[in-house]
Amino acid sequence: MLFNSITFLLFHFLFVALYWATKSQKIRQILLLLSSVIFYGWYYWPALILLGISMVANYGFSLWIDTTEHKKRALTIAVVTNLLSLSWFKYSKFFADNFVSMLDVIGIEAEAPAMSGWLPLGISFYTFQIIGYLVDVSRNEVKAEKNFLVFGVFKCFYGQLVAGPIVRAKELIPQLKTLQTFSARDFQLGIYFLLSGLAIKICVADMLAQFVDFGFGDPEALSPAAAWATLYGFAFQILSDFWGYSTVAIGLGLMYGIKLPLNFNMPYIATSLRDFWRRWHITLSEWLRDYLYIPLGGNRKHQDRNLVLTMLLGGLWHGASWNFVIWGAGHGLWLMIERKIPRFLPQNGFFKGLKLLLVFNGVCLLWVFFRAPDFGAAINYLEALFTAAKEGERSPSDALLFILLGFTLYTGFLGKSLTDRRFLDWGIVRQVSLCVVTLLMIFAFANASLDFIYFVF
Amino acid sequence: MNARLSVFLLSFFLILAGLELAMRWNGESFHALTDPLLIKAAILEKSPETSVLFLGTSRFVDGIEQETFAREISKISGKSIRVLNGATTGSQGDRSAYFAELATKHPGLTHVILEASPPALMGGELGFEKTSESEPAEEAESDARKSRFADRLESTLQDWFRSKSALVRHRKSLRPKPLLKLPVILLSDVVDPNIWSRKGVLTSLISSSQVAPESPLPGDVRPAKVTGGNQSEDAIVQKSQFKMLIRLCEIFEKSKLKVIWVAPPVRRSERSANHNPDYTAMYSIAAERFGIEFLDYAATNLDESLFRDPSHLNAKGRPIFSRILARDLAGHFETALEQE
Repeated sequence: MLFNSITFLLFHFLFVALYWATKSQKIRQILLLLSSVIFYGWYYWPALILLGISMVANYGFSLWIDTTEHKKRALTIAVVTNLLSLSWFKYSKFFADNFVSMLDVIGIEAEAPAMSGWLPLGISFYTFQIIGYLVDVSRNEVKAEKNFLVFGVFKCFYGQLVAGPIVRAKELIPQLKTLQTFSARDFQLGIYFLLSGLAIKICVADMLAQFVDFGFGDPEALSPAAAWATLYGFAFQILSDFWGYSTVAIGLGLMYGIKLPLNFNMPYIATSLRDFWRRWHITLSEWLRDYLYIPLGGNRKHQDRNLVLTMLLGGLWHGASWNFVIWGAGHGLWLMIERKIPRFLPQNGFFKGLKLLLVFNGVCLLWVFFRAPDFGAAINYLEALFTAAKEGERSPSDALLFILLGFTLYTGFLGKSLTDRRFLDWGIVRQVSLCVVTLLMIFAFANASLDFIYFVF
Repeated sequence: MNARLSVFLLSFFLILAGLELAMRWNGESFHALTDPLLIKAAILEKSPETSVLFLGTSRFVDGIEQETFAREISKISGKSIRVLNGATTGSQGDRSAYFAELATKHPGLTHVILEASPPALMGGELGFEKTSESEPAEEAESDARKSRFADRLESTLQDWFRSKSALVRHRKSLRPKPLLKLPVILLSDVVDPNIWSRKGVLTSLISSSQVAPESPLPGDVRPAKVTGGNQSEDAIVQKSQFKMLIRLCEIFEKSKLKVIWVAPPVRRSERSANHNPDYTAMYSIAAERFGIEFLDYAATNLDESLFRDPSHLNAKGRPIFSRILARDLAGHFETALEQE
């Protein structure tokens, strides 16, 4: 079920109504689990089998880790099992293809086995979430949840199941175990977040997608100006697509009285790459920091290696392709270099703006590897960016520039309101008119339902 | 539920209900916003006193100033008429036929002046739904591909909302670009609707004051009056365009409207590339068969400075050609008014 479908909206409000209609915590938990199962199975029901197996297995693992004296061994088995499952669906073809290529280099002819290209929806998100939980249990940071209903909802709450935010057990489980009282303020904020998230996805991400697909499909035909505009278009598309999804997720949670963590905080105003990763996909950055970077040694030893390795694996998490590895490694190296450069620039507005521009453009250049279908295509695109204009090349489209400008203004004026609760302090006229205009924009631009980019990660 | 949430939800749904009602009452206007031709059709419909309609492509959009034409006719004949330049940019084809059908049903219309040029007969699918109640073609087509239950349900829900809610049905008119065209319809009685729609036309607001309305017109610019003569239908190369021309003539043949074909001027230096003798032959044959007058200005020696490109007049040329045309057609209106 897609967030941007009528079916989903009817489904969601039906379950919200049922949820608040009952005072029984158990029935509420059943409703949340049932709705999440329907939501996930609606897209492709066989995926429920894998989700169910993962749920039961990890429920068992968590209890085992909690009670055994050999926590490290139990945790290793649990994490490896989860990673194997993820690797099988996500990376097996990638590894097989590369293995065959390596054999080819040393003169052995082999053929990669035919594999299904099916990737269970949201597998990367729910695998990381559950690994985090298992680690927390092994560290005694949280107790293993004995109530299967609560564990089930933590594992697959439909608000964040397929594309995050990646929630920590200590954030979500206590909320699921508490009998929530209806908060009109949270509900109102939830509506605003839901509408705004959908509008960002439909009116910006889906609109930009057509220009980006067109530009990346034939970079040789683009003038440098058009290539840069298309690249900025992709930078804004991926932000609005994922930010839109995360905002909807937070809004859905709020309507159930559940507070999900913030996932984006105006990332393109970052003045350093470190700052960028504190604002972009925050829950993944924190996961990588707490469950990968720090266990590797963090800042204590081999800091450079840890940084590059963490970002490289973060890149690989996004997809089975060398381009994602390059993208991750690029970010890792940049973070490494950034730490070594002394902060010699003055902290005034001009230099802040200059750093913002440098970071934004650097991030955009790395997006080329993220978006291009393969390494060759990425190099072609980089050439289009830096080669002098030739006659007959396309100029940037007015509509693309209009959307980029419009989204920049929107982010400037209203972006902050999607990171905190300031909407609730506004006057009723402002609240209502903003919500009405947002809904009308959704109506105006809603097209054939397009998937969210992060669904394939 | 606290009072603030109740007020918020109540106001939210009241505004939506108000918009829904407004769109139901003005369904045709909102439907019209999605296409320039529909905008012109809406303007024509809401103005029953319009008696002269220009139909054509960008050549007429750039070449005809409806106010100037009406003023000049009034000056010559002493009677005031209301004119609408219904031309729109791009190839016309089916679109012209659609507008022609509407024109024949308009109660006040007496004259239709049709652009005689290659683009006026070329291609041009309708590109919009005929009525505000029609299902959008692209969405209906995509729905046909749905096979999964989930997709069918979503498709059924979308269809249901579209059929029940004008807000959903006319949702594309809420996009900024179409919505900005609302003043075109609302202000059509005051401002020439073409001012909003074409690059360069807006400048006429500024530059028209430079062209004195009473300045003498070039006397040597007279149209070639073309008749069928000995042209043969078999010699026509562009068969599909000829078919379209005949289709238009047949639509008007059934009505009492006086139809005049006008070939707009083409820049002298590039006339050979823009003036196709095959088209002249087509119009001549049609003019002969249906008894339609055909005024050909394509070969006139209009000053080159009055063009913005080989086949389009500029802000300076527009009022001059409008006055020339009014001068040459004034006789029709005098006759028509006398008959009334």
